[in-house]
Amino acid sequence: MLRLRPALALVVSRWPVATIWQAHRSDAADRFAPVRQAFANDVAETALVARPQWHATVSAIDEATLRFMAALQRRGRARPCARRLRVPSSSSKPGCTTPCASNGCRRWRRWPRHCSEGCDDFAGSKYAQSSRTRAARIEALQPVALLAARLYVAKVFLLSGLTKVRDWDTTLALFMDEYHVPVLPPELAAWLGTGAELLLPILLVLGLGGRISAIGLFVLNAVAVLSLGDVAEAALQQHVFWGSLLIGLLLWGPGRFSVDVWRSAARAQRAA
Amino acid sequence: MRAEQGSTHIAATPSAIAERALAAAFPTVQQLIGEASFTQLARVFWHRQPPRCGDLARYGETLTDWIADDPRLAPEPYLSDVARVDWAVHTIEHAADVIQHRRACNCSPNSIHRS
Repeated sequence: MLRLRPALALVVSRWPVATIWQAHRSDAADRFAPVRQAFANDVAETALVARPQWHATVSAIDEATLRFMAALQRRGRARPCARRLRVPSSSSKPGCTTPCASNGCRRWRRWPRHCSEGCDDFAGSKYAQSSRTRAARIEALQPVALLAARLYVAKVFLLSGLTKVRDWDTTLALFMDEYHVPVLPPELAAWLGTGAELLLPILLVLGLGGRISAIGLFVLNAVAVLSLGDVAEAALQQHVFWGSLLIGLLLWGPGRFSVDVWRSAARAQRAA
Repeated sequence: MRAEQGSTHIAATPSAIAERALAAAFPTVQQLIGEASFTQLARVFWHRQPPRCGDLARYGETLTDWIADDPRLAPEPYLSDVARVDWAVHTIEHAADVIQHRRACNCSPNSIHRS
């Protein structure tokens, strides 16, 4: 049984199934005569079940139409199939097509995307599977991207911290005169800021307490912007970029390549 | 007396539900094998493969394979294929409406009225 859900299905059979179904819906006096004849001739039928208007209809389709629909199922292009069968086509994109339901319209239309919603068969179909594998391949890059973000942000803050340590007197002077850290006294702010800039990047690179170091650096980054008073537009953009990366790391965690994940995996293994 | 009626009613309910749900989905099969046989088939099927989903309109998809495997129905080998057609009709009648792409299909509602 081929399926072109939701409003089209093909039932391939070696029996005259369409004729049987139609006979049971008929009011004619000798309604089973066609069935008897079909059985006598050993007719095999492929039933096309569709809902062109209000109710579903069942009709037998010929070999060529079946092959056309099977080609569509295999994600072939509608136009070459249609050209072979001389059916008008308005769609050259791959995907399901179905005859237009409107009266007098002989064109073919694309299968709309919303068909997939709530349709169990679609979830298991090869279209859904292929898009799932594509998505999985892209998602496999997530830990790499998270590691890259960690390395980049850590480098920025660690270099800044190292600069501060290298010339401690200048750093203290800058905290006294240039940076106006809110609430904290300048000397404490210098110690805290430098300490955080040295410690948190290392934790972030290791992925040890990844989320905590991410939010710590985010706060540091925000305080740095607040303390500077008038920040150049280019510098502000850099702070926004670092802040965005850190928010991302806070929300998604440090990723697979981190001590956090390694430790929780080891703990789970020990528990098992 | 009343309690007795109630309990028989409850006892009869699952098979009655089974028959009604499956008869709605497989009317041609029911006509082909007759109501009595269909009741029996529905009852056995309900016990062996009870519905997993509360929506009984979705119940019965595996009945087609069940019919194909049932040795008592072997003399009518076309039954399972007819059941497949019935199931396709049943699901398609309940399928969501397809939104028409106007651009892909050059016919506005007005032009249909005129033609």
